[in-house]
Amino acid sequence: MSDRPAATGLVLDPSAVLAYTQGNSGVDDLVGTVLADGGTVVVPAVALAETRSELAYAEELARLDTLLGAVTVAPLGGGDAVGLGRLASRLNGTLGLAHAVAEAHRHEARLLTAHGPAVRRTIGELDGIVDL
Amino acid sequence: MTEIDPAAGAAPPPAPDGERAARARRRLDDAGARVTAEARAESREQVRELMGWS
Repeated sequence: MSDRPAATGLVLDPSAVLAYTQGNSGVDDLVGTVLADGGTVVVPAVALAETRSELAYAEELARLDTLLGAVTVAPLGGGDAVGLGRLASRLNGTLGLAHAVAEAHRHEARLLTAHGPAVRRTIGELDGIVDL
Repeated sequence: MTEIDPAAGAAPPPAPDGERAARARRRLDDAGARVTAEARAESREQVRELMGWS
């Protein structure tokens, strides 16, 4: 049994999902460890769609399939669409990154991203940013 | 081309071994430890305002 106080949640932005599909072992370990410790790994729907649009190789698609078998896909509600656009504009980033930031807030979870410096500069640390 | 089929029931990723899991936990813990309560509150308030959740 773990002596950790509570299971940590982890939200993947598009850069993290892409890294997972490309076999990044660090992302693999973070996802596997959070799940093994009873935490939740969240992939925001917009981040998923954004990443899928960039994949063409069967190996990457198979890894995405594996990931989707283990994580929670967070939907985007219609009521959040305008806010998401505002957040993306503030971040000067993609909608997928903005959705990941919003879900990290909602789940009080760590955000895994290659865009940590930009998020810290514009929004702050939230509940903790894990840099790719 | 292979298409994604979440309903296909792909096996979840295996849990990493001890040393790799310990390194992953350290990364998660360090990320949380860097955040002060005040910084966390300010950051979360910004997201709430931008998303219209205030």
